[in-house]
Formats: sequence, structure tokens, C-alpha cells
Amino acid sequence: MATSIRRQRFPLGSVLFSLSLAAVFGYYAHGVHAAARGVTDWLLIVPAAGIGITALLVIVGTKVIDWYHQRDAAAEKDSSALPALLFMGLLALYVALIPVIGFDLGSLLFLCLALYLQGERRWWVITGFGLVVSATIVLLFIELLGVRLPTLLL
Amino acid sequence: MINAEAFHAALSLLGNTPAAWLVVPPGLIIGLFFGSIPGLSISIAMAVFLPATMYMDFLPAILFLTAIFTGGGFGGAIPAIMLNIPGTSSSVATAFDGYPMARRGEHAQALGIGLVASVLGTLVGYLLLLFTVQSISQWVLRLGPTEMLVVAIWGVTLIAVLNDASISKGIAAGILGILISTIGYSDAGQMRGTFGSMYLLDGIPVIPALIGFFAASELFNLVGKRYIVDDSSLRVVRFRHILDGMGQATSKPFQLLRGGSMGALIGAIPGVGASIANLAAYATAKQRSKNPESFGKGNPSGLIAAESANSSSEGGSMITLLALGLPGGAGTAVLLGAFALHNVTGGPRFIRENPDIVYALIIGNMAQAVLLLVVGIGFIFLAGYIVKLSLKLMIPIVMVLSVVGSYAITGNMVGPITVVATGIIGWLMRRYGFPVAATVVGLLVGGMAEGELVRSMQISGGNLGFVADRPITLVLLALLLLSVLPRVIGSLLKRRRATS
Repeated sequence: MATSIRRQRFPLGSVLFSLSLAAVFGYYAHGVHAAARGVTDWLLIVPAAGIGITALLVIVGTKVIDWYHQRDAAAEKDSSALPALLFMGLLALYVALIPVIGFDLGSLLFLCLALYLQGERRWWVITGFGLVVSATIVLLFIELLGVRLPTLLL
Repeated sequence: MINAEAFHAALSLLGNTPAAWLVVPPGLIIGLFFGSIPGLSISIAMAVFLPATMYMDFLPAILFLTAIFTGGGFGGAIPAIMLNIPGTSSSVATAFDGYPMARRGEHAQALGIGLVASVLGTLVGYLLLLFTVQSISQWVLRLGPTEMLVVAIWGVTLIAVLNDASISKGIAAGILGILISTIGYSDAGQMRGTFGSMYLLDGIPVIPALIGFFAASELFNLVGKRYIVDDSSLRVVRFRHILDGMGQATSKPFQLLRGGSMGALIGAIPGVGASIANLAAYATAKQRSKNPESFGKGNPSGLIAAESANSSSEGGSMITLLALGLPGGAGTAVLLGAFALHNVTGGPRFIRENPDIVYALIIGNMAQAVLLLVVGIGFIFLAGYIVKLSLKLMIPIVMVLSVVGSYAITGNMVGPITVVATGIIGWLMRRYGFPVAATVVGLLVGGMAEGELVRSMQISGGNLGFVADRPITLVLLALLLLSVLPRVIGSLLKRRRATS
């Protein structure tokens, strides 16, 4: 009877994320050092970035070695990231549109679309929920807490 | 020790000032309300209600504001336990074990534990203040920049090293937080990482970043799930469960006392306060535990340590406020504003000339802690219903609250943008096993660490031998190494065994 040995996938996401962080640390530390007028300007940042980059390279090295030896018992999970990514996109769109359509209309649209994204299809639930929650939150902050929120309708 | 004559005078002063008692319950409710809404904070509540104290006498005014402080201290634990969103920076460690308990259906017990730990922690803090207010004022003055720097490094290192991820990931995450905290204008006037945007001159706003790292990143993960607690039979809020949790907390008096004492001592250090106190107490409880691996997975001891420490740090921070006139954090800074509003200056002279008022404040705050027990039970009974809400509805509501709340804090779009950006970074960190908590701690203490490092450099002239003449720094460094080395050595040995 044939046995199938399933080879672990290369931890590409983890390695890319670690390398990206290391690049950001390096870029930031270099920028601060280049613009510094004295040692106190970079005293914390450059050594901290150096330690961070070293730690990130150790992570990358360990991941690659573990993959090479097929040793990582807790290999990267393959859970679907699509719902989270869609929600992130929706949130980013909501925040980007606030200066244009205000907190009232922006929150209403975000709430309705977020509910739709999570599988709700009854239009009266979507609109009712959106209207009640957005109006309550926006009015709570404006009237009760005295926060000046940019709005379009309220 | 206690000045008996002043103590009696304080009791009669409190007895003859009914207004001092009337303002406490509303103060507690305001604190609970503000603390439990992600995006709002205790300092916001205290600042908003500071003008309301203008027409009060000094004692009721301060008791009203400290009631908000006390209520908010526990209020922050409610979203930390129910939603993994620390309502305040002092509730970060509360979420570590409180939220896993809630996900297991033990939310009512967790809230009960949190309430009792908060109440007893506050009592411990003020009891210590009662006995030590005269002598500690002299001790705090001995802490210089090198000591403060070690305390800040300790805060980040503890949480970076003592987590379930690898040490390298903890360190990288902590440094990410420190680097984010340096964005904006430095003390020396250098612009860093602003990309020319005037909105970033003040740096990345801490509370929106905290909301993004903790709340948004977790909410992204919850999209698609139906409830926080999957099993419907566990989604029940029973008074019995709250009492059960309260019983669990009282059955661990040593842990309560340890967390409370640590919180009060750390809270007494200006600029450190509850944000570090809860993490340090949590790390100590984890180290001393027979089952350290159960921490972060819903161990009640972690919750007890975190909540007792952050509540007792209020008493600790009052030491520096009363004895030195220095605010330990944002909350005590508002209290200092209230002192100024009533033409009172804190400091050794204030304690010497007004011992009756000092003792009245301490006794009044201890009574507030007992009242919190009553008000808090009712409040958590209502808050416990959060787990009954469908996530489909709750995720968008919390997200909108977080975005609007972050706008309220910054007054511009930097807050909401920070929530989105840190939420995405936090989600990626969680996905690849980086401890988000280490980043948040780095963010909280990074500014302080840089300031103290620069001051240490200026004082010592860059000579490392300077530290040898500072015994408190050496003791703190030794404690730092002792707390971190066992985990580092254990991790290296584990790796060696795996490779051989």
C-alpha cells in the first residue's frame, strides 16, 4: 500500500511579512539617522531598529531552516483570509469617504454593506439596522458628548 | 505611619460633608460608562467633567473625579473581557485571560473576578497610601532617568519575552511599537516619519492605535463567525456565575495582595502608572504559576493579577500626586488640574499643612471601592448581555464606535486612519504569530524610554560607568535579567533539543 508524504508548503507569507517589517525598520532608521543633527536624535531609534532587524532575520532564518528540514509542527494555517480582507477593504473605504459624505451617511452605508457582506439579505433588516445604529451613535457623540463630527444629513 | 489626630479629623470632615458622598455614585457610573466604551477613556471622562467640579468644594470635587477614575478602572475591563478590546491602556493584560474566558462561555465569572480584583486592588492601593504617604514621598524623589529607563525597558522586555510566540517575534513586535511611538516631532524638534504630513507632527495617537491593534485586528478575524461564544448553552448571563467569579477571586487572597502591592508600587512612579503595572503583575503571576502555559488561554489568576494591579495603581499614583504634586498619568494629570482649579498645590507642604484633607481623600476613595462593588454588579449584569449579540450585528457596531471614538480623541481623520492602518498590521501580525500586545506596550512606553535615554546620556556624558554609581538602577537591571533569563535559556534549550 502506497503511503503519501505531504511536504509542508514554504512559509511565504510569514517570510515576506518579516522581511517587509525589517525593510521598514531599516528605511525608518536610515531616514532618521540621515536627517539627525546630533546623536540624541537617533539614540533610541537606530539601535532599536538594529535589534528588530536582527530578530526578524532570525525569524526568517528559523522558518526557512524548519521548512527545509520539514520540522515545523505548527506550519502556517491555511484559513481563508477572504472575509477578513473584504471587511478591511470596506472599513478603509468607509474611513476614506468620511471627509466627503460625513459620519452619518458614511456610517449608514458602512453598516448596511457590512451586514450584507456577512450574509444578511433581508433589505428591511439591513436598512433598519443601518439607520438606527448610525443615527444613535452619531447623535450620541454630537449631542451628549459634544464632539464636532462632520456630517452630511444630521 | 498614620497621624491619629488627622485621621479622626478626616472622619469628622467626611461625616460633615454630605456632598462628598452624593457625588460618588454618579462619578462611578460615569467612569464605568466611559471606561466600557472602546475609544473613550478615563482621562476623557475626567476632563469632560472637570468643569462640573468648579462649583463644588475641594473635597467633593476630588472625590467626584476619583470616583470616575475608580469606576473607569473597572469599566475598561468590561470590553477587554467581552470583546478583547481594552477600554483603557491599563486593561491590556486584562484581555489576555479575560477574553479567552469569555470565549469559553465564562464571561460572567470573568467579570465577577475582574470586579472583585478591582475593588480589592483599589483598597490595597489606598491602604498602602494611608500607611506610607509620608515616607514614600522621599523615596520617589530618588528615581532618576536611568531608573526610569530600566523600568520602561523592563515593561517592553517582559511582555516581549514572556509570550507564547517565539522570543524573536516578541522582540520584533515590541520594537515595532517603540518605533511607531517615535513618529512625529521629537523632544529635540526633529520631524520623524511624518512624510511631510502636519497631521503626524504629534505622532501616532496611542488610543486609536491601541484600538486598531487589539480590536480591529480581532474583529477582522471574527468576520464570518456567528457569536463570540459558539455554544448557545454558554451564552447565558446568570447572577450566580458573577457571584461564582467573585468567589474565585476572593479564594486567591495572596494573588490579589501581590497584584495590588505591585500595582501600588509601580503606580507611584511618575509616568509609568497603570499601563505598566497590569503587565508587570501579569508577567509575575505567570512566572510564579505552576501552569504558566495556561496563561493567555483563560487562566483566572492572570485576570486577578492584571485587574488588582491596575486598580491599585490608582492609589500609587495618588502618592506622587499628593506627595510631590506630580501626575503619574493622564488621569492624575486631570486631578492636578482640579487641584489648580481650587487653588491647591500638591506636594510635601500640602501633606504637612492639610493632613486631615489627605486622609479624608484616602478614606473617601476606600469607601468608593466598596460602593463600586454594588454599582459594578448591576453594571456588569447589563454588560454581560454583549455575548448574546450576534457577531454579524456587533462587529459593524463596534467598528463604527471605534472609528467615531477615535475621531473624538484626535479631532481629525488621523484617529480613524490609525485604527484602519494598525488594524491591518495587527491582523497580519496575528496571522503570522507575532504578539500584538508587545507592540502596544512598546507604543505606550516608547516615548518615555526615549526621553529617559536622552536624559541619561546627557547626565552621564555617554559614560556607561555612571550606572555603577546608581544602586537602584543596578537592582532594577538585576530584576530585569532575573525575570527574563529563565525564559530565554529555556527557549534556547528547547531549540537545541529540536535540532539534535
